[in-house]
Amino acid sequence: MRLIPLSDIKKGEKAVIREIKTCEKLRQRLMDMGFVEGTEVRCVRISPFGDPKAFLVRGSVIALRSEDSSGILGVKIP
Amino acid sequence: MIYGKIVLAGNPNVGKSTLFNSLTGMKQHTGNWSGKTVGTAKGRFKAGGKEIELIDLPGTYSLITDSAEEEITRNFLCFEEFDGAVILCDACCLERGLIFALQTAQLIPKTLLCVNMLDDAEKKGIKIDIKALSEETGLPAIGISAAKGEGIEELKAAMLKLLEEPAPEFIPIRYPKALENAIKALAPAVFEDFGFKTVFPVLRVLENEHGFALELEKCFGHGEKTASEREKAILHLADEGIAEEDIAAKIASCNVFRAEEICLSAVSASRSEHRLKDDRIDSVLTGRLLGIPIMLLLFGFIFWITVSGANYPSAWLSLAFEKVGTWLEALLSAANAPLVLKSLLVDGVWKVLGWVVAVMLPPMAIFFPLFTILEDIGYLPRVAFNLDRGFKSAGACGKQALTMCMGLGCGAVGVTGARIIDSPRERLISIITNSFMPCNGRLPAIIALTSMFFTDSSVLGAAILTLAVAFSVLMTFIVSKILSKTVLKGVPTGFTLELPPYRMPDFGKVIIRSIFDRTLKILWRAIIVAVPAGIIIWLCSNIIIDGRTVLGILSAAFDPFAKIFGLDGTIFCGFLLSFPANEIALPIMAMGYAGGELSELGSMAKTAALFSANGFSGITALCTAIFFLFHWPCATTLITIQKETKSIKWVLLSTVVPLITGLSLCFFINIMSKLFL
Repeated sequence: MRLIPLSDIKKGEKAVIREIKTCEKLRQRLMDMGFVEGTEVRCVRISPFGDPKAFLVRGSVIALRSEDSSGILGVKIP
Repeated sequence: MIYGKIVLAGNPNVGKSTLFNSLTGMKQHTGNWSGKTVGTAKGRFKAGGKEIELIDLPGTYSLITDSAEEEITRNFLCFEEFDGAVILCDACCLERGLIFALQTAQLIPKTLLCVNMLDDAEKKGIKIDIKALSEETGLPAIGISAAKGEGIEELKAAMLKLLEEPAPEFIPIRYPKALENAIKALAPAVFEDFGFKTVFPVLRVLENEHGFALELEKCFGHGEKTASEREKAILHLADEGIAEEDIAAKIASCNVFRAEEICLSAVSASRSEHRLKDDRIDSVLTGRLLGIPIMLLLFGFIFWITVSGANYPSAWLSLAFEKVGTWLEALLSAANAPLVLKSLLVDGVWKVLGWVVAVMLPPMAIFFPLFTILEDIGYLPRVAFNLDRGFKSAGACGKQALTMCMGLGCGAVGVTGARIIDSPRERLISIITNSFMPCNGRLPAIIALTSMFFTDSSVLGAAILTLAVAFSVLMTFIVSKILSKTVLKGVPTGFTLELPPYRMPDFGKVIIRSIFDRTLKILWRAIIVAVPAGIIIWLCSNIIIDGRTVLGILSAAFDPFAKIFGLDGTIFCGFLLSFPANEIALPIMAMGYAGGELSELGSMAKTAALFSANGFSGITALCTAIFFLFHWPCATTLITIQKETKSIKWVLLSTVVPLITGLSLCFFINIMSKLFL
């Protein structure tokens, strides 16, 4: 399975997180919000200017900028 | 006599402040977005005849943190004395709330789970099995709907029980064998060095969490034994195939999956179905094409109601003040009061007070409830989501949109609110540019200027106001960019912004709350500022030196300087003398123009005529309005900046930056008007 960054998934697409490669501080924060390996996320919104994107993760919606979500790698699922 | 102290904590935006208010009968301001409560609040309530103290902590996603705001919660929970904790979770996203609740339970043995907004969840088809939740975690659990007041009595009883009974048997989170061994080996050292009996501090020491380590060192000094035990544990872990840098991730994912496991047996609903409605609203409010226009229209609409609705009460109030003023004068004459005293009280104090109340109060009494509704619905995080791109290019944090919204109410609140921004650099940018947002002392002044010099139409007036605020936002982007390229160099750091579920606000409560909590507060502040200001202004315009009033002398001195920027000496004096509070700037200008003859200061039309007679043109009005948006923050805000940044350097910069911005813009407008008009 090819790993793709979350910043690359389109609105409505889903992915399962495989790896988080952001800076230490942000990684901890993301994990505490539920972004951990094996978690399913869906891109639910894109800001009018194209960035940030909002992801549905474990029942809540979290917006991330592309340079941050590009550090979260996952595999696309249907 | 207090029977026990209980802290109230939880994720942001789960209704902590609402619950705190309904338990203690106090009036913390609430709103549907993360980071409404900055700093702690204390209150008391009675349960079973016993008095319990409740401490409301700022909302937190995690106890592992570097942010100024979340550190308050972390430090309180780790290092302060109290008897128990209530962790509030939102029934609509219980899983995320549990991640935090489990962390807390790892730190505090007496933890009570409280699931809020059961009513909202039910509407969305989510059912929470409170009993299963309690059995799965081993912690006592209670379900409530705080906004409706349901379950509050049961919660009180449960809190009393939490205090009376021994700590519940929390079912510990299980980690991989190697980690469990490391925790076991390290725990005695952590207890010996720092006195912690629970597992949370051991975990943080093991993963060497930076913020917690700093705080430990500050409170207890360096822990020799812990350090050496940790080194051993790390070596062991490495042998077992767990690298030091992976420990934190292992621990965090165990916590997350434990929360998921608990939810599997306690929550019955599919995860995404209930979001359909919110999705549909969001696709309009944050849509690619509609997001921005709707945002402008929404703010325009609010300003329109404010402008058109404020006209009548303003006129009535100023008439009423005039009437009472003549009675006051008659009364003083009847009492044979000296002429000077009579003039001071009626023309000075009463006129300024009347002006401030009549002009300032009605717009704010209308604006606040409307804005509060936007806040309660959950729209403000969407504003941040829509505008984040701009903040990113400016090298700033998207949450700055939220502090700017707070700034629309009061600059000092906006400055304190900047604590929700994690990075110190981005927080300073937000603090320095916060005064660009017209606060409740300046917004009505701009409304007044608009209606006096630009248009009678409330629709156009609202459009101008929206444009003014949009311009302020644009200037915030530009100046933030300049700051992040110069004094506050750096790249934006990662941030996460939650878009909370939309909620139907309780309109009755919103209105009552805005009137009593905000409007009356502003009225009070206006009164305590206007009375001494009235006296000073009266003195300035009545003490005569060499045939000229003090205000006249001051104005004349500043006149040549102010003229460069399309203003005049009187306007500039108005801004200078209104340093304690922007509310009094316009009345000072009016008094300055009237030259001690204060009878002119009455209705808006009279004021407009007075201003015009003194050479106040449309361009002057434009420059004055711009200068209202960009000059220096008022005294209260500057004091708050000093408190928040603890540095005179940033206070100075927060004064100079808006001043330079305002002067440059006014200079530009003035030159352009001279060239082309």
